[in-house]
Amino acid sequence: MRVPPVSILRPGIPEMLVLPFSIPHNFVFLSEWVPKRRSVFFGGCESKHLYLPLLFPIPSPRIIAPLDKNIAYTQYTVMQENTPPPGESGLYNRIAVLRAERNISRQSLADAVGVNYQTIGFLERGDYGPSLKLAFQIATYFALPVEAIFSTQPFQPLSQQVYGLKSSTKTPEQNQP
Amino acid sequence: MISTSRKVFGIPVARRRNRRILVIAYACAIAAFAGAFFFDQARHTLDIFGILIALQMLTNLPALLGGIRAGGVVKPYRGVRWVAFFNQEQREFLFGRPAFPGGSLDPAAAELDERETRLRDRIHFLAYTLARWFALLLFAAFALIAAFRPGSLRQAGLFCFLLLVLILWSLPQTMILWTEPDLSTDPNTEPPQ
Repeated sequence: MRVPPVSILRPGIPEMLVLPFSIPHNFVFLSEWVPKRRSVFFGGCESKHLYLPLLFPIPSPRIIAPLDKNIAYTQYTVMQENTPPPGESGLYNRIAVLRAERNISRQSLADAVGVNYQTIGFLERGDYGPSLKLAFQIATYFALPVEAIFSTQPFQPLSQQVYGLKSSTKTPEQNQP
Repeated sequence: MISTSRKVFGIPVARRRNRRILVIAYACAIAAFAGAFFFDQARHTLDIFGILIALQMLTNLPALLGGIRAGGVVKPYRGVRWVAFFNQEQREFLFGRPAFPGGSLDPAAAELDERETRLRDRIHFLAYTLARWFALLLFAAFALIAAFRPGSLRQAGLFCFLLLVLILWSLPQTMILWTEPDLSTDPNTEPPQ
């Protein structure tokens, strides 16, 4: 069942599809790839971004399409907030979401906690695990507990946390009285 | 760790691709310099002028990458805490000019935060491990030359020593430049939309 994306953040923040495993940011979904046959022996895949040459043509798009549907409709979990996948640090965080909510630039946050603005970018991408001191400084700055900003587990959508699990998993048709 | 406002020969260093080109160019410069030094000795024409050029190269080539002195691409490893107290002219008078033209001593880029300090320490450990094995290889090569070509022992010894010094002075910087991802150049990055 596909959960409709509902955002409780301000309009404009994109909903994100998060897999149980991390995928690279430039991942191209299978449905975007169109097998292209150049000749009898040469072929490849073509998307709107690039052409991937292969030594042999891909047999048929009909084999690929069901795979894509399976992944899209059964394994994906729709998350309503911008939770980045953990990078090298293995930590999830909500810094980007909190900055967006409060309209704070990286430089402002960096000045407040005494680090370089690039470090904020590394933190948001999960490429850097902050020290305990920096984590507490960030938590103090946002006036939130540390566990509300950093976690070793993926964050639940805020809508689920606020309104409960049942209401957020219902489709709009089910929610209507 | 990297001063994104820097430009080396007009090339911005915020992009990793450009930084890697810089590292490759630096390695080529070292190879060319070491080769010239080697063949210069072979012709027995090494004089005071050659030694002065060698000293200049030894001090200026690693300074271009930064790390040791302020003004390079990599921020100084120990930080530059004095920059906030002097203006640009005073800094240049007291502590020498930046490593290359256009390299300014930016107070904001003078201190390392905790991520940069951690990166610096990790890279230095890796560089030490690599340099240790490299020194062993050079020693083995030197021993082989001593055994089979004792006539060129002085030439090979100076060459190995020069190469080792250049690598010891610049390996951490090159590793940082090679491995750091693309960096944002805009400090006032807006919140994600």
